[in-house]
Amino acid sequence: MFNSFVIADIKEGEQIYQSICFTCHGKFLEGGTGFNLMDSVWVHGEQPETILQTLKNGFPEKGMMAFGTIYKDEQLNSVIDYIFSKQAGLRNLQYKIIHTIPSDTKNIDWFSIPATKQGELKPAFINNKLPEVDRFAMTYKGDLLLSEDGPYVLKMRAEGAPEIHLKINGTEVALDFNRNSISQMLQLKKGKHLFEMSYHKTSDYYALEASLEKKGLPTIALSMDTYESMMTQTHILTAMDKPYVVRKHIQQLPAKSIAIAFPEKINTAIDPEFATINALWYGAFLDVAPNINGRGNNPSIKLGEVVFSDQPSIQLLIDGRSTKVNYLKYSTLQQPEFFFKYDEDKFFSIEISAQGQALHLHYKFNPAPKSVDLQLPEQVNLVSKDGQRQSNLFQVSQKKTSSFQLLISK
Amino acid sequence: MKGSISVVVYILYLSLLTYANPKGYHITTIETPKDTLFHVTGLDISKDSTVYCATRYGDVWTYTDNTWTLFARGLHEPCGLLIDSDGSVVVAQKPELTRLVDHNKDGYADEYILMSSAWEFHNNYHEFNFGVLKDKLGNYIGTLNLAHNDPEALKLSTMVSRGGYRGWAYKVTPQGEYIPFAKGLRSPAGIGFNDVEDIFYTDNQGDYVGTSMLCQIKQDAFYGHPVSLLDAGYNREQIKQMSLETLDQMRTLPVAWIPHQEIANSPGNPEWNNTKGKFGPFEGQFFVGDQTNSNIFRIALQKVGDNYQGVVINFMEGFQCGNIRLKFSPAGELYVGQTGRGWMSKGPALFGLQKVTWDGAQPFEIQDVKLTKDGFDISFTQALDPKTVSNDNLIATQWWYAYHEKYGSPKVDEHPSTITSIQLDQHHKRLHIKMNLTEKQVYCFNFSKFRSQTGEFLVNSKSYYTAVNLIQ
Repeated sequence: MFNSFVIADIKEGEQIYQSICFTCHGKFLEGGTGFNLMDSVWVHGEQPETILQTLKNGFPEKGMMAFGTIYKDEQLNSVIDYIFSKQAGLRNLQYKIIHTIPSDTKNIDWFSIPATKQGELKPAFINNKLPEVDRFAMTYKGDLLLSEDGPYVLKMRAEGAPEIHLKINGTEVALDFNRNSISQMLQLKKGKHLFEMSYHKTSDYYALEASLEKKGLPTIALSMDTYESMMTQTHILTAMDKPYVVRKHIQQLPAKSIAIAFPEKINTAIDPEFATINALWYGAFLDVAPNINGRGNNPSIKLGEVVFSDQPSIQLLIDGRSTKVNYLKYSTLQQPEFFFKYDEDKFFSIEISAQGQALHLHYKFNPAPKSVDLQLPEQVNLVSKDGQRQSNLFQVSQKKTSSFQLLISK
Repeated sequence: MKGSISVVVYILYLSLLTYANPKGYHITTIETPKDTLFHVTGLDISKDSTVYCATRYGDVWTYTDNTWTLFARGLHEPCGLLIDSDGSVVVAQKPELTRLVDHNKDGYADEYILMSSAWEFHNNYHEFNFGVLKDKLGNYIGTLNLAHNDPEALKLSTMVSRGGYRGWAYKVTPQGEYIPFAKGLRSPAGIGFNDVEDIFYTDNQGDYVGTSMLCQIKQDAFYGHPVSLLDAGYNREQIKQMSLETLDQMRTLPVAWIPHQEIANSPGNPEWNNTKGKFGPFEGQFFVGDQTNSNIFRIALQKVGDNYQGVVINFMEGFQCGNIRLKFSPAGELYVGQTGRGWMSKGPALFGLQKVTWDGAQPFEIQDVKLTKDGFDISFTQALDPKTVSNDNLIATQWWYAYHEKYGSPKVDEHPSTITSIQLDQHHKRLHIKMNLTEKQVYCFNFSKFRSQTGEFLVNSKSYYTAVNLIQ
């Protein structure tokens, strides 16, 4: 890939990049509010033609400007050439997973053992979380790209003393572990190197941090664990012109919770199993990146100021008791409204909307119960004409039990 | 990398892809909505040919006249979608089975109605809810994945459960009653009906599953993964004490073993070909996609005694991404929903939608393999060149898979089969193989040295027949 570049092109590209693009994508292409452009992850496509379209048309709604009216295609192509010249890290990384571990693993050549599974890693990072078994070995083989001459410092951190072997350009690199960490100098030239590594898991741990560092350059992640820990990438859900009702794995909320964002930047969640309002927070709604990247093992993050989440929550007491409810449905026809049934033939709903900086809750019962109370988290403000608050209990007026409304805020 | 592949290499690559697939079948990529994470894990097509996709991101989109429209959003990693007879849409999302209704007919769902959530969901990433079938009685059918890496769950080997019907198949009646009806499922990523509404599911190779498999889901049956027994009256200690022999005796064997890597690593839903010939010569067979291998294979069924047995034959390769959902359109096109996130796929794209169309050209393929009393009947889509048909040119092997807590099984006792004779019928399209037979064997025939009358060779030359039982 490097040999096709014309140096003059890169110079102009560099100039444009370093006067415009760097503000979002970083001086070293390491990313910022924009994506990292030196790694192997290409969110909008990696072919030069696709990148050119991205540069020309942008993604204005995501903050990426359209540069097609400012620069000629040749100029934008020179930016692409510059970006390609700055690529660093692993590419074309092939992996093998080995489930059948020989009894004696000393001096073993893992590359010669038949693989249980194999393929190419995308993105191209060492990833020991791929196998779903307790004991395994993995091998990795691919290209290591560097945009500058070394020396580089290889940093690794591996809990549980796994057996790791590394070869660069066919030569074994003697890894010098100090307890579970490595920090050792490697003399590597700019260009493409053959990278081979084997990993044998010998304990319950499989997390592996691995990176190359050079003074004055951003860290080059080699493993998925390092990449994820460096990631500044987010995926933020937000309510634009109407409420956004979302079910995801969300930090500090029960598994079946339903979260609701309002354009007023006020957010809440309801636990359908108990009809409790179990969160209130102010700000952009959710960063769902942890829940939609990779296998989605990690919870989405609530953004902004959290007033309460999970416990304590706004709990409903019907006729003086915590009643078992059956959740039925929600409607988004107008404001989000959640419907429930209890005692076989009795119904109620909770309509939720935003009113300024307060959450507007409208409870509707059919038939009207004798009494309704709400248990409240201490830290919330409550405004309502339909009942009385006594410390953490809101008692609905007897005449209002068929329909009552309240405003909740911080 | 980027831009470095020369045009020549690329054309060569394309021609190789074309080469690898049966004549007459073509893959078309459908452009998905711009800037949208479009991992298609739920797929159905209405009678008027509108395509409905549920995405792992949590959206439902409709596609008609080359235009995508957002129909619903905010779902929890849905892994199944069904267009119901009243036009509403049923989605299997992780915490519940949900009906989406567009009351005001503005093209966007405004009601999300709970149909059932009677199982437990603990926010574990692996606790998928796969679906959805609807039978003639109006029951909705789905399957629940086991969990992984949950320290509070019962763990014997790899996949785990805290209970709450993880590892079960379930029905939800029209009245909303939840009926779990079969257990022992591991990672049951796809279900499908055959022509008479028998229910089949595929499971992924792993602990207690020697290789990926297609099973018929029968009432109260157990398919091998013990942690699901937490909801069948056993406690954790009792399950830990159970021997493999005991579990094996309880186990219902698959309709077909799907050889690991040769055919599949992580199969999706079995889609029955009922296109009345619009999709070529493979009517009345299952088509199944594979998420890892990014291929599609076929499974043809045969009833032996009370049970189905099946033959697995590869079909097409070279898809852009992992194939998890298949659905035939009314026009007989096979739509392919794809994802490559988390569990990587050979196809390089991260997500997408493609379709397979047939242009009417006759491919040269193995049509079907049927067990007989003393061997197998094999039919081909075109006449064979008799000069190439001989015992010497036929490579036949057989093996079985072990049942154990280890992750997958190698081929056990793989050895050449003993063929007594082979005989071609008068039309040269059917082959009778006489051979020694043993029950519980996968019989693999490799016809790579056979040629058609016109000199073509088979693109997919291997068949894998799972003979759990023999014909008495």
